[in-house]
Amino acid sequence: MSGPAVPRTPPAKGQTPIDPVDDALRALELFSRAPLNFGGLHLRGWHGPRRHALLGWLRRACESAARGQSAGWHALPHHTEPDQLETGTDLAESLRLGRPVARPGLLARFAGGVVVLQRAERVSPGLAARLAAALDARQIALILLDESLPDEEGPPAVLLDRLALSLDMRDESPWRSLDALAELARAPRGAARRLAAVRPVAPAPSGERGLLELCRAAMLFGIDSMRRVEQASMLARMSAAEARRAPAAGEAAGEAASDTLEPRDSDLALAIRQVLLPRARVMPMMAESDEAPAPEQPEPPAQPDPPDSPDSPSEPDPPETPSDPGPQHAESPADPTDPDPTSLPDGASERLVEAALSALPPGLLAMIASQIGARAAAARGAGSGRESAKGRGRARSVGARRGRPRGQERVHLLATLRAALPWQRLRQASTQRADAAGAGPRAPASRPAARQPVRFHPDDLHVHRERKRRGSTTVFVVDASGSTALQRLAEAKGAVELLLADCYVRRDRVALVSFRGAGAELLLPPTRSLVAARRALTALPGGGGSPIAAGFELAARVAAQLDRSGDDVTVVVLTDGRANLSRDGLPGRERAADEARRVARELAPLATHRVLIDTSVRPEPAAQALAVALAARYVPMPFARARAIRDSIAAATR
Amino acid sequence: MTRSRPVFPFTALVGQREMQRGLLIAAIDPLVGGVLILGDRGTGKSTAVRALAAVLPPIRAVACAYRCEPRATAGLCERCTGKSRARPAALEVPVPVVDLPLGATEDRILGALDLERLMVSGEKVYEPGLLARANRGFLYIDEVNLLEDHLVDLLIDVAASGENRIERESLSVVHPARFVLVGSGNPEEGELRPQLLDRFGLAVEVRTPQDLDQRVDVVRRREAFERDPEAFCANHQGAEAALRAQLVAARRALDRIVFDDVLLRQAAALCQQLGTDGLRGELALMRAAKAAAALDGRRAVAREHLIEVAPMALRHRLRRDPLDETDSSARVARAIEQVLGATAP
Repeated sequence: MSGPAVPRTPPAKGQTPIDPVDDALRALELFSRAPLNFGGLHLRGWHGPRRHALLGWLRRACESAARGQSAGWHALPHHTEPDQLETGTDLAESLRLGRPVARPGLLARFAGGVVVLQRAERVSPGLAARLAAALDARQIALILLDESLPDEEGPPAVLLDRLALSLDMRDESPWRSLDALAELARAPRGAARRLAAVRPVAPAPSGERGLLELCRAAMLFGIDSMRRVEQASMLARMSAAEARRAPAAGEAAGEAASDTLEPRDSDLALAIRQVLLPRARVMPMMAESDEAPAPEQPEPPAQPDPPDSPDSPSEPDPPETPSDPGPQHAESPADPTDPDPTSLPDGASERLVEAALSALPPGLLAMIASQIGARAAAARGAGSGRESAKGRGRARSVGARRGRPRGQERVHLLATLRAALPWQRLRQASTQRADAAGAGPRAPASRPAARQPVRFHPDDLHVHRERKRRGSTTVFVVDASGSTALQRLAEAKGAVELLLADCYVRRDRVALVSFRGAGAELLLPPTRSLVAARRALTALPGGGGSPIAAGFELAARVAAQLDRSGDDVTVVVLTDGRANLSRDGLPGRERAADEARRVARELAPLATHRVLIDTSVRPEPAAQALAVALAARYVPMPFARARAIRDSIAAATR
Repeated sequence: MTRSRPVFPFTALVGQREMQRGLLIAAIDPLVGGVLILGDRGTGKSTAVRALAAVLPPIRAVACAYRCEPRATAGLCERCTGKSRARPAALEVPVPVVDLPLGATEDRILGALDLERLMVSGEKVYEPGLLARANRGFLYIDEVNLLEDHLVDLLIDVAASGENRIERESLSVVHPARFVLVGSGNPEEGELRPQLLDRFGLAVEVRTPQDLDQRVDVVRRREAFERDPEAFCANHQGAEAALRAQLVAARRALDRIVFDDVLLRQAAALCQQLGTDGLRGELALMRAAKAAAALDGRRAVAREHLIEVAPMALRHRLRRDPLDETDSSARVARAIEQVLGATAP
């Protein structure tokens, strides 16, 4: 899975490549017609004029599509308390009026609208879970504004999985070159206004062929979630439905007649590019190229290519759906579907996928391909990172305790009220008595009791009992270079596995950085999943040079990030200390060793505990020197004694 | 929340046999101890649980906050236990399937002082929480592996004792909270606390169908459902009713299912072979096998039932050995082969 793959097919077969921005906007336009159908949009990128312009445009598109009805466009801060979403008691109002006042839940207010969640990468799992439920019930559509850094956790997977569209604006170059957004900022595109007449609720189910193609395409991309296919099919059907409705296509009868909607190749291609491609875990061309050469290139169906432009609405419909594909229809259509998914029988899907991709500028595809590895790694750890959001670093309220707020403590309104309420009668009676005695400056005694504000005593005060959990994460930095690999990699793995088991028991997180050959790699982002950790470790390849400096540099980045989120970091380095590659990839022991020691000194302050395990056969001075630079406990691994190493590390970090 | 939207029918699920059987078994015999559903995102875990709720036969319950059983003498709420035999009339109500969202507060789960009553009349009244609502039904926790530790602790206590005991805010309440715990999650996103893992009677694994036709079928059904939920459900009404009848019959037959000695011994041997800690695994295995036999309309447990339920009942109870690469399902399969001389499904 190394090295970006570029499709075999040359990018242009006499057609102008599709502009990625246009393509994305086309999908967003369809989104604006019926946002609820799509779940929503995951928008990566910094706050700035371009994102602002895009959102402004999208909002106007939604509004013009909603015609008459209010489109509903709501902002939701990421720190919203989950309870706010549901109907409850308005505490402040209730206190003011002295009687319970209901507060409508936010979801009821948002129903049917688009909810924009700022800083979605910071959202708590609780809020995410409620929003996910709302998405499942098709109550709202969600736009996640994600400003996470490349090596940070993104928004919760539970939400991402439910959003059909994903747009990455972090690389602004395509957007800039086009300057499309300046134009957008002025007015919604003409098409948006023209086609906004009807707001389709749910387009007809997809025909047999479209589903088959999309299912296959998803498999080619290594996408397992069935939601993605559903989402892709939704986009394709919306696109097809709109083309039908467009005046040029003309026949209103056709729509009413058939129960299913057969998307055209161009619709499917759009769905592949906009829904499946951004979530690809494998690049199909890559997987396929080392298998048998694609068997039948020239195939009977005569539309192998996407249309010249995805915007052309008057695309002639492909041969109409074979009447009504009933449930038993699966086996009957042209292809005898092979039950084995790995060998897709006819080249149809590959061709469609290829066509869909080849329309994109080649550079873009190479970039996406290169991101896939990183994304796969992130996916391995990302979800696990979720649980870190349980409140790692940030203080988390775990109830209330009696007491006056001190320092940063917050008053727990609910608990305070609960403490005060049972006493109200007594207190009111006593103030009334006081009033009667003429001492009270308070309200006249004639005021009805129910209208009186709640009376608090200092004793009632409760504050949030917060538990600031400093999580603990162990970052393993494993030297997988040739010199280590030959001797001790297997043993080192054994030691790491034992440590993993300890981490599991303590519910610590682990991360795995390895370096060899050209550079370092974050094999496993911080996770609590034993499964993921073990898998990453098993798959750890060995061989090549020893770029220790690069490894430490990456470890320092990971540690710094963990430190920011309030974790205690333990760094465990397994190496023989014989650096022979410097950061710029040049060989040379002297310089490499120098550099390694320098980076080690940078890494040292970022970790609470540091351990260096010398993996060479007999204690190696270079490793010892490195341990000194790292201010780490030095543990030689003279004999294969995984357990002994584990114990000495346990001692070192205690 | 408007819950008027019909749910996707249980009988229309495609290619998730183990999950479906596991849920049905847990529904037939609550003593099995609930189901943990493990699998990737987008495999229809939540859909299956919601669908199960719709297919379950209704229960007869007293019109109290806890849906007490009309004729029971134990495990009732305070009001229904009262000497006066004047319990509220019994009604037929759907089996509650209560969602416990990740971000739920302790108050919401356990119940707390009723603020409204406090404000209006100064009365100190307990307002039941999610645990009360789940009594005699199902408590469903999606992403259970991401649940906060302090909430897990609450659940563990209640799941073990069958009652919710509250001593806080000068409240002192005990109410029955017997529910079938159903959890789902993706193990790759974090492990479950071992204590909670052990509370689940069964653990089923679910993955996306790998067969192209099945995948197409999944999406097609989803789309047909989205398009016209009422019509889609109407189409499956017959199958749903049949399944409901099957469940009723299975529950009735459950106590009479025969488990012969040879098989019992084999079940025990299986647990021994796998070194599952404690008796809980053995109990879950036997109960689940009986429920499976009842579901199939048989009078006695057959070997095939044991083979079917052994992976569900045991795979999450194996002692953790991080050095052992084989996943637990494979280990159970191997043990089945050795003890029963048959290959697991």
